[in-house]
Amino acid sequence: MVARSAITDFVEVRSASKAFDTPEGGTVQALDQVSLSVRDNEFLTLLGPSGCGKTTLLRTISGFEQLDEGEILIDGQFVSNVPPNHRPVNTVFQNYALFPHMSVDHNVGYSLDVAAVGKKERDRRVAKALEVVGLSGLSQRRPRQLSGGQQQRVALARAIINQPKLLLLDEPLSALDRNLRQSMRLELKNLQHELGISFIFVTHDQEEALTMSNRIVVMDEGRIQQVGTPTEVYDHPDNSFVAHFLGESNLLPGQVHSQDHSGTRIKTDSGLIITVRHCDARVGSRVTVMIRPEHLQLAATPSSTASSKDQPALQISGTLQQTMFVGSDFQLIFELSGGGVMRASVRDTERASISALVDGQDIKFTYSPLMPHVISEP
Amino acid sequence: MSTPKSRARKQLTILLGPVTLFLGIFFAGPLGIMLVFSLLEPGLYGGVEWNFYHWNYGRLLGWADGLIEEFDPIYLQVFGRSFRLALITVALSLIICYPAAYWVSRSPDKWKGFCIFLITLPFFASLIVRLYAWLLILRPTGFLNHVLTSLGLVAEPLDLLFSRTAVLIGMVYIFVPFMFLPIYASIEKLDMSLVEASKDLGASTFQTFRRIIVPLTLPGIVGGSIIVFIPSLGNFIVPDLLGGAKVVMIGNLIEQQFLYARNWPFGAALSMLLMAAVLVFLLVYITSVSRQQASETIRA
Repeated sequence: MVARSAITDFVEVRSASKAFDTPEGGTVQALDQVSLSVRDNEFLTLLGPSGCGKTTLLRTISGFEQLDEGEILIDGQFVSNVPPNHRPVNTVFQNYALFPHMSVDHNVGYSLDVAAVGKKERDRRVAKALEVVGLSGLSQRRPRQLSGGQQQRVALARAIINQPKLLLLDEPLSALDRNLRQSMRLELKNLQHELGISFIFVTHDQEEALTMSNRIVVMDEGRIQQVGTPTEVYDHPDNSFVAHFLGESNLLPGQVHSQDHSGTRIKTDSGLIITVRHCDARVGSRVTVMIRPEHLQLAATPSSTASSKDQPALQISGTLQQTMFVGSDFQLIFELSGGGVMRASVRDTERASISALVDGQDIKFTYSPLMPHVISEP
Repeated sequence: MSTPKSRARKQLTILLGPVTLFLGIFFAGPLGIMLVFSLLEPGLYGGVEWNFYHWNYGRLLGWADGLIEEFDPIYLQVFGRSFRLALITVALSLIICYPAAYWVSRSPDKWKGFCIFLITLPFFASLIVRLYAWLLILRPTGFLNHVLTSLGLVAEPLDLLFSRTAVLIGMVYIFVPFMFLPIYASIEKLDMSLVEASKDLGASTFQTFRRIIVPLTLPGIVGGSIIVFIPSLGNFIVPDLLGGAKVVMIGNLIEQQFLYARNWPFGAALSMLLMAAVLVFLLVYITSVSRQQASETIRA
């Protein structure tokens, strides 16, 4: 009776589109032809700025939003007509959505209670779920008597007690303070591994996405911008949005100038020549060069510039504008002679050479031709 | 010069002084007078004689001398009838208001304000005028019968006016806004993500309603019920106008004792008994609701 798809991915989203009416009377395209599949046992992160459609995508999978176009398959079944309470997925809500009038025990056991599971079985599974999240002993508390981190764990226990094959998490860490957030990242990742199920994790925090995910789906304006492993999307962004959104980057628009065996030279609009080893773009085409601040090395001492005589072209020079200490490293902001500002990040270990720098002085950086990434412009 | 303590006391006096004074003079005072009068002998031509006289209560509850004052169960029957009418009024207005309040609280903001305005619109016209309008609607040659007969739904005009049905319609009509507003306020506060969480965990719409929505909007339901129950129990205008002389409620009885029979002590005794009954009833109601809420969470 139910149509089955040949594909074995647990969740498949096909050309999903969804528009919302805005209060001003317009419409906003929350999802625009989004296609995506979630593999078994995968930690998949939907990453993007607020309003990019990531939460809408999650809610169409959980069943709280209906698609205008496209379809969703869960476990090989089309689910557009399946209400949320009949979908084999569970959700951890952004503000946990714990039932305030019920104890921890009844929150966690809720799905078993509505399914009328026998008391013995129910109690055993509630105890097990609380043990998994490390909350045994607090089962009689009310949610408001718990700390933020404990509430988070109750929400997790409640969502995993039915052993769903897929857990949806809507910015679950955003309400926690920084330290707790970091330890919860590790715990969530471990939990996903232990349970052996897939997680779809929604966040706007790139650090969270990079540290936890198997794959990251970067979204903006209702469209998927790139899907890949954390290193793929970080090192080889498909477009300027991804490059800009993930980590710090210097984006230099320009044109492919020449190509030979040593690499490709790109002339930026500000007049720099950047040499890169890998570039697929043809000579004359418009590109954007991305250089991460941490890939620029300070070439302050004359001796070090002399030793790298064989590659004199791999230098960028400018005028130092500002030095900022950000804990693990220093951020140097410098102005290029041809206009434009770049940012370099220098390790704290080079503090001695940095302390000698004064704002307004000329400064030189070197880079490896393997590091800059070329983004072809459409 | 002024210590923090004396300043706090001064603040308290300013904040609570007026209401204490007002309630003391216009609420506690008359209540005390009523209590005292209910234990005095009625004067021959109205007023009271200053003699202790417990037969006022005896007439109502079953110890009467059988000579001047006679016990008549009709008074207790009026009490029972009034309680029943008030409870049905509460139940009907709850059934009418809850879905509507739910719908309004989930609609866009610009609609909400408009709907609340519509609900409060009846307050702009006098109660008496509105009840006379119902008189015109319900009478045999009135609007309702006109519609029903011309549609062929009834052959003969219905004799609705001056019946218990008419009183009930009038009661529900005037108390609907009082039920709507507290329920609306509590549903408005309900976090919709809790409803979604319940569905996400496999609960059906009905299970979600029973286990999540009702317990969390219970304060509004209890508040609305009390606000409707108490005034509808003592209401005498609606039975007067829409019930004619046929439907006597406790409110009418008290009104008659004070204004026509001029038996103030007996009217006062009726009022005291009504108040005591309401207090006992509310006490039972609130404790049973809170006990049920507690057991709901234990059992779930």
